[in-house]
Amino acid sequence: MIGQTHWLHRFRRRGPAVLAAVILALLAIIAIFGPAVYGTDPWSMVAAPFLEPLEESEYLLGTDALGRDVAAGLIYGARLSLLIGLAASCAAMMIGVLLGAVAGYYRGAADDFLMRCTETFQTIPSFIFLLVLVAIAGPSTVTIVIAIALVSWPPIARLTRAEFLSLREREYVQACILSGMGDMRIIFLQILPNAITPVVVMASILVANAILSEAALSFLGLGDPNQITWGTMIGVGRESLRTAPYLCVLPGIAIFITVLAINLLGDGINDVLNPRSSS
Amino acid sequence: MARFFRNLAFLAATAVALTTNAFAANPTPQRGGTASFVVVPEPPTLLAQLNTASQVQLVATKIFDGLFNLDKDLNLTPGLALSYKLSEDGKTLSLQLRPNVKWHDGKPFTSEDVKYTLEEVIKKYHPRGRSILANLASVDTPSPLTAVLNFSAPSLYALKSFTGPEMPILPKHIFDGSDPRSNPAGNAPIGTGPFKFVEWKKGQEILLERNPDYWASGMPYLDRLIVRFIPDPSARAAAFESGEIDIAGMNPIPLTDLKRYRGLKDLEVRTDGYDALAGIMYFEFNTRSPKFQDVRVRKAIAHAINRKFIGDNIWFGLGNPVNSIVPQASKEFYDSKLAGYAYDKKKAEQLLDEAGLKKGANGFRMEITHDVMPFDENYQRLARYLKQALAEVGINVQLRNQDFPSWLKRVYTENDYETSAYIIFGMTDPAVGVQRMFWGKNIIKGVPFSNASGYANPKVDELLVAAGVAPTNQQRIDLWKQVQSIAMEELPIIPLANINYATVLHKRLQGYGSDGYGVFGSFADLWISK
Amino acid sequence: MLRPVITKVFRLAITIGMIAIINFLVIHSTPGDAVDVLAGEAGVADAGYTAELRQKFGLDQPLPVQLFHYMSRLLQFDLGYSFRHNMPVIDLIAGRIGPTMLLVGTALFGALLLGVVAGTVAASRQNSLLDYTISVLALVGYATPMFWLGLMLVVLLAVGGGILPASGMTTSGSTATGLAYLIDVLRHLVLPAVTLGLFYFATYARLARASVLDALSQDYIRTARSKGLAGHTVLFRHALRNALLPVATMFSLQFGAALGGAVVVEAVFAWPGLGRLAFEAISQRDYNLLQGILFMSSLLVIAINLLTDFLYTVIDPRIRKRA
Repeated sequence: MIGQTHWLHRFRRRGPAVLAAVILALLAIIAIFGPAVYGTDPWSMVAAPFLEPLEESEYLLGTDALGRDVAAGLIYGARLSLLIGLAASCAAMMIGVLLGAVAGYYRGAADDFLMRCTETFQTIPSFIFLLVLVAIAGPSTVTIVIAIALVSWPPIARLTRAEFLSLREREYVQACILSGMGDMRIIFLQILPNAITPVVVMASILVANAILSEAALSFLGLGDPNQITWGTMIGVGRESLRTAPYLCVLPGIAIFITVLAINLLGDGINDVLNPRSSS
Repeated sequence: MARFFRNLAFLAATAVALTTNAFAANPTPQRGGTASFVVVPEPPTLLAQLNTASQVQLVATKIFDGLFNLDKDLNLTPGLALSYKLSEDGKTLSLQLRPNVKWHDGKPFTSEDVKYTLEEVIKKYHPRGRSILANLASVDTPSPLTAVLNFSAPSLYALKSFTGPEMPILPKHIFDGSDPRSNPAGNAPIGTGPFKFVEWKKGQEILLERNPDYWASGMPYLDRLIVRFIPDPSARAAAFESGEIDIAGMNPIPLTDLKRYRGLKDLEVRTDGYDALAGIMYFEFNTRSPKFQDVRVRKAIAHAINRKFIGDNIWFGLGNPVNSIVPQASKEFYDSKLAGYAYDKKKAEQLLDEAGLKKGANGFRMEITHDVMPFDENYQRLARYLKQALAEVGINVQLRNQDFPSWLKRVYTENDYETSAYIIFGMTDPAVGVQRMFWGKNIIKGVPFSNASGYANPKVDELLVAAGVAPTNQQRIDLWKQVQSIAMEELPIIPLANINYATVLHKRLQGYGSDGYGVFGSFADLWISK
Repeated sequence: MLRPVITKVFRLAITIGMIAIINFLVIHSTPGDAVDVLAGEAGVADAGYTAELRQKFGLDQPLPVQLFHYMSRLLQFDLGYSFRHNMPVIDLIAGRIGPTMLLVGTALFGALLLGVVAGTVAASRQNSLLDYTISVLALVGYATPMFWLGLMLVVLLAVGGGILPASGMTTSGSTATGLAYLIDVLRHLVLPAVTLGLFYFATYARLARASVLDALSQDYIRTARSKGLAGHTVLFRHALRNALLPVATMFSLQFGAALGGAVVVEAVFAWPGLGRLAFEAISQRDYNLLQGILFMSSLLVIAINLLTDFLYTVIDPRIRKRA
């Protein structure tokens, strides 16, 4: 019993994060090379509609209402979902870090103003705001990425600001200020490298949230109609939920696994960086 | 005394007495029961006099009556008006109103209600009332059961608009002196129709109950009608298949599911009852674009599109190719002799060659953008088909997507588009539904579904105006045939297909399709077999 | 003593003002307006109709003028008029806020209660099978897309077995009142509340577990234990109280997010709430209504934040001293 717990305990510490890393690496490979290797166009109607998974060896995961290959959709979806997740969280990180750094470094009026902005953006229910933003700009991959970034930067800004506020008081920073080094150099070359680690961890979790947000948008019919994402597949598939539930189940599982893996990896990294929090 | 005008639609020479079209209902209708009717999305108001969106009309028609009804062949039948007389000059329409009709609050219906509705509501607030009734000068009420409509010029095209879905009659005693739009009766209406309003649970359903004093004896057969809004398609499908819903129209299920629904034991799919809408799908050019100045380019694109494929495989049999700008449902006006543009890729390429558009290194002759009408999935499939079909003749199509209001703004306010494709409703008369798309005077920014292509031909304009005020229907038909042939030759718009819609109903519900309205009918004659 | 309060109120006023302005500007920069949609839906419309409506709605005015009107109305606590629904915005919101609060409240409080209990139990039996089960469940809840969970529940429970209703808030056509009505609503509430709540349950369970573990390792707990206080007393009176602080912070942060999540859940389950109304308002360009919903829900979030601040002082007396 003790031995078992011990093994589980060890696995708990390292196993999931390693597994998550492997899964994410696999997903990345599928996203990058999958479409070219698999070949089948996810848009073209290649077979009879509503083939169940495993019903025909050529279309292992079945076909949708129009006879399009579900497996091809999932592979293309991987590319787009991951791309949107990564791009949106990178963009959110850029906005958040910039505003947080300025607020934390300059303090005073700039800080006050930027924090009011952050608070405002945090107060407006973000998903509804996201819907409005996508409606304004029209649903395309780029606008969806930007819109997701625009509603997810505030926590990053707050974290960055907190880091900057504390790092700014460190002696080495004070020394730089006294030596007359330019603000930009201090912010980007001196403080940021020391503040960035927790921010990156938070941003990695944002990737998962961005994937979920995009899926929800597509589900509501506000996805990019030129692209197949997992969310779109669920949105289209729900029309035949009763007769062909696999059309919703499969892309849902894909989202689930991806988000789970990102979270686990984030937890793992967090453990390594803050050993105390998980003792 | 005025002599009475006759035209193809009306049989008699003098007074035209309208008779209820007896429908061939084999089993005897049974009284009682509750029917569930699904309408999506939820209507914002229940006054179709102010808002003619289909979801409003679908509900309002059960509560209100029009002056006329239309039978299956779109002939006029009596509604609140028992008969009518049209003067020889086509300028005076006298209506004999039905006696003993009561509003749901017990007050009698009179000619004053007709006068008020037409003069004060339809002409001022109805989305198309100003244009349809442009020539209506006044309504006289010589007696409580006689209304006389005085036109400044003949307006034959307006006749079939005096119907339940289009111009239902409002109670003057409720609305007089108020702005009808902010009158609370818009959310709890009082009509003369077969069903009385009971309750509107916003976001969920509207409850209607049988009007025991309805003028058609024995009708309505149903005790209650529940109007439900089920926005989620999977929930809707589940409700259909579990027998919770009795009827829903305007494609309540995805067209991809039509075939399967046709095979279900308890459900029936009908595609009749949409002739009064007269849907027709257009592929529209922005004729301001330098790319489409040469008619050979427009014709080439017409030849490159397989319209039968669109009707059969993209609209799943609800579309059938049409060779005129007038929908086939407008039987009198539709010119069946027009040849149209047959699917012929060689001809298309030849025309493009003649127009000087040679294939470039990338295999394309020209690049165009297509703004996808964002109404439903069908248009996405259509857009993908168009992209593929035009690529085959060397035209590279870029698809652009946006939501419905953005699309309306782009096409009708900014005219910032090259091509688009969408369904318009021809309505009961081409002067109402088709003319707006081709009339040079109707190039007006900010008006959805107006002449966005920018097409203006003085000859066509002249014909349209002449047809509008022609005193006989035959003259109108002749003029409209000329319009059709010119428009089909100049091709600012390629008509793709007549479009029908699907109604799904539970087999226990009987009596559907006895009039020309389908789900837009009053439902007085629907009944549940036990 | 008064200064911090004034500062706080002042800041709050600025935030509220900024919310209103940002909402207005963002919403009004959407292409197309309510008249486009009304006339587009009408099928055939003439120029007189659209011109008259634009004038009546004030859409023919320059944007700064419209903003000025909007802000001055807001100052009089007037959210404006929905021209599409022909009703004051406040009435529309009032009709829908109940169902949304019922849904969001049930989901969040249910998740809070169950999550904290689960997290505390997991922490108190660290590394036991129960701990692993709860942790895995939390991870699953964390990674499941909300709308997808809803669909799966519909397939499994509503459509498949007909056990629970999957659409609406009351049985269609029902005129039940009193207890029968209550039971009907509760039955309809189960699936949407579970769908919305699972994610938050996962969040609270994880957070509570981590905080309780953290607290348990603190010196004062060790002291309490060494003094011979019973395990449960230590756990619930000391460790849990400490753990509630981050949970409460999370709760107030998540309220706004849950309102957003309600959009999706209400769409799946045809729940007649604010989220669906907001979604419809976007596609119908019902500016006043959309502004009203965004503004009111922002106020709700602010109110919840203030409430949490107040709760802090109840949970942790130390904060009272600091303030």
